[in-house]
Amino acid sequence: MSEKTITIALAKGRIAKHTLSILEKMSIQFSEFTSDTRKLVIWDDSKKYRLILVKAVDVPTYVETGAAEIGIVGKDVIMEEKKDVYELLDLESSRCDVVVAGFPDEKMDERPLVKVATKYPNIAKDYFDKKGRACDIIKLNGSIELAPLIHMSHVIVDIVETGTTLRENGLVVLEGITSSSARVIANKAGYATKTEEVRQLINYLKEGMEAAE
Amino acid sequence: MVNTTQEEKTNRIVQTMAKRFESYGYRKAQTQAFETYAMYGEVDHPMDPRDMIKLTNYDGELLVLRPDVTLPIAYRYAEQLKRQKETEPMERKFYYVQEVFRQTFQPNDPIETLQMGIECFEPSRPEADAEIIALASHTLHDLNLSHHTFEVGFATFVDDLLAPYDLSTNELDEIERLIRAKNMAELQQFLQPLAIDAQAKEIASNIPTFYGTIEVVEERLETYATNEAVKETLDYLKRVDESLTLFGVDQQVVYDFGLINRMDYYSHLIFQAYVEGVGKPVLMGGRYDDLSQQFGVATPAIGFAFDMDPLVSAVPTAKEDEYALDVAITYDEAAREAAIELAMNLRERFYRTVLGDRSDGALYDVSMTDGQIHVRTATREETYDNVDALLRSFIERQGAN
Repeated sequence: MSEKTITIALAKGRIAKHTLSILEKMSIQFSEFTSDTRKLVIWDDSKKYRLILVKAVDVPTYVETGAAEIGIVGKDVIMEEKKDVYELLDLESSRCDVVVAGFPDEKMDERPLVKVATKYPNIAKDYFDKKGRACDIIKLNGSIELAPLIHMSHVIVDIVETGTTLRENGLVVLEGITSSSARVIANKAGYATKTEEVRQLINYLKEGMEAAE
Repeated sequence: MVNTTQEEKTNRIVQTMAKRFESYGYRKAQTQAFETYAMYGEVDHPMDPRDMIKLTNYDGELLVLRPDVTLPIAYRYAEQLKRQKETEPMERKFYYVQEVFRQTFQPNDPIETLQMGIECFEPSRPEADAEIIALASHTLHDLNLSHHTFEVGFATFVDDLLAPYDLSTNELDEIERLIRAKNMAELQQFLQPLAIDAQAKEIASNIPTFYGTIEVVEERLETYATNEAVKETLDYLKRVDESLTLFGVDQQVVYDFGLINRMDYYSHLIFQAYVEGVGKPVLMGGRYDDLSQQFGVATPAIGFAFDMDPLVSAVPTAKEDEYALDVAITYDEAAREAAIELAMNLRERFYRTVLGDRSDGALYDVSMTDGQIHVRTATREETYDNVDALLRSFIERQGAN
């Protein structure tokens, strides 16, 4: 039997570029890939790895269903999607924080019900439940910072890298929920049936990561 | 439309599996569609009561539409055991093929799924446990799913390991979650500040690496073998592995100490099976020695269940699944008598046969016109002089199968 191929679901954008640079350090070349490519499926030159470039929020779904054995995506997305997958490696790139943000004078604990606008309803709900605060989640898909400005919500739950967007809109970080970075996730069946191939890829990523430092 | 191809395929698979289960001494059991909600309230199990489909009977008692098969069988077995005199022999090996009903928040999840499995009410022994895995593997071979992998673990390993320390349920839940996700980085971070001794911490944080053949796992565990729980579990699994070799299924098995299940009724050995091309396990099983105790009788047991939907989709479609019919006979006026005689003879031998205008969708397309008999299949065409010669070829074929 020929060597088993591995399908890797990559979050489009920064994570995809970073992952490819790590793999290239380990001499796994993706000549087909260019930063402006519109191709969604890319094979490496040895035809052992198949990359599929997908929207970040879809990466855990591709991996859980087994369409891809491996996925690389931010921890924020993994926490939000709550899929039953292995989380094998922290690539320590694409770092950001998941935070509660609002106006500087916001006193959440004095409100009987906190209105929270967010792209991450599960993370927000879990966090507020754990804190014992009643909350009303408003799911948005972008421009989250707008919600408190127009009084649609009291606070937001969102990711923050530099904090520039928050500052420009007069908002501050009220509480940190967790920090996020790019993680390698794996399908459980793929791990069982292609153990050696998956482990080899994880080792490549580890070594490539160290070489990049 | 009714998808008969899919149903025939499922049917064929169920028959193949039933034959295999019976060859290991299992007999078919049937549980009723409605169970009392109270029975599910009596015992620990991993099912969310909200997922069960409930209704009330005439007396206002709450019923559920069969959410699983293991609990009702274990309950009936316990009840029977209570009534039984000790000297009387009792059947102890059962198999079932039944729909189970659970609803979820996901609108697209099916409520009804077909499960096929076994329950064996016999005490824990390495050969007995290995034989159960051998049966599951044998069944997968029968279905031409030779490339499969069993992951074998031990349900209480983490609990046993961490029992001496005063950890909260929340802490144990989090440790279990991280082990199940094989998330070593976060597991290490989480264990670091906990008040447990350095060695237990070391073992716990390395559990995700205890994955592979029994030799690999043993080698990795060797450094920690001073712990009694670790030693006992490893010894037991080594003996299971020896038995698996005797049953000829050791090649398909990996050991995974990260396969743990504290919420469930599983008590010792647990296992699941993966086949290529399916993203989730097609089979889950394990030993549940303490379950029947909650029904008032102590009787150890082991069982497994195949999730039939992913299993059926993984099995390659066979020729007989695609054809709804075996033989379709078309004829002209002169061949009328011979055609009917042929049809009746074939039906006597249980070939699925139709007479008349239908000429497609059958494995054998028989045309009796102009004094000639043509038989066409997907791959070849044959001509026969008379009905007897054709019938003989069918009988020979049947004999060959």
